[in-house]
Amino acid sequence: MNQEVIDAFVDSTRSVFKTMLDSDITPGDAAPCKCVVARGVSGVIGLTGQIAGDVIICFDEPLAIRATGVMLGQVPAELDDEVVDAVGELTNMIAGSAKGRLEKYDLSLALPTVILGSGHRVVFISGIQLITIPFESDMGSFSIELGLKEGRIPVCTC
Amino acid sequence: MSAKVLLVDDSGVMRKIILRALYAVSVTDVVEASDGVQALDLFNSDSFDLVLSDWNMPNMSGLELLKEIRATGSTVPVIMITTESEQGRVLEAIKAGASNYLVKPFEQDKLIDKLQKYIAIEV
Repeated sequence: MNQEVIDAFVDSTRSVFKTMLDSDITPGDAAPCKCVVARGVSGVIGLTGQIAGDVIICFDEPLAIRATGVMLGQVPAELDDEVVDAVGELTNMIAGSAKGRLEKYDLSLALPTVILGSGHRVVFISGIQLITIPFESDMGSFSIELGLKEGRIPVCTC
Repeated sequence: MSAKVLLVDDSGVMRKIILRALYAVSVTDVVEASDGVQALDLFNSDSFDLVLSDWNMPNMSGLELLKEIRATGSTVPVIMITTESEQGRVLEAIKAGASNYLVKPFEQDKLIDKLQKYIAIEV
């Protein structure tokens, strides 16, 4: 996966955290990995175009709850529908902002999905290169997993 | 009299964030919809001074909603609030009749500035 794509996701994540959560984040080194191990609350969004695949934002539960509290001005007592909605919207904004920075790839976004439960693994099909980008923030650590393949994935024409 | 606003976004959290901005400009008469189909039904059965709409939503997108609203002959101001930031997408929305455009993520002050432009006309 080229550095331009990784940089776009790092920059968009920084922008979304600063603007929506008033939080400065520090990215770690992006590294290839074999599978995603979920931390508790994962926002998943599909990308199609000259790059295709899925992007997964992996939060642990306390971070997801704190982030929702900042967005709404009131911290939820537990992981509820608003936390799920907030993680979905953060996922949408991070991927949408990266899409804008990668205009030449002619990308389209699917609607985000949120998966709950820590410890489960997400394995990508062969041909998809998985890159994990760790982040530290004042609200805790999280990661962004890029399971993307360069080149347009053929669409059924029937 | 306060302006009446139709607020369309599939994210309840985003609707709450936008509602805070509307309250900041003293707009309290707000009808919410979570997709374009629901919004179009509401639009056709009521009168609004301003529409705020997301773009990517299930059932009917914000762009399709905008086109449907303009097809009725309505000139109501429509502000698109969306993650779609590419120049081509912005132009597509403006061509379809969007009055203004705000890219997510946004600072609350930026939204308030835009709202004041349209709300001031109606109050």
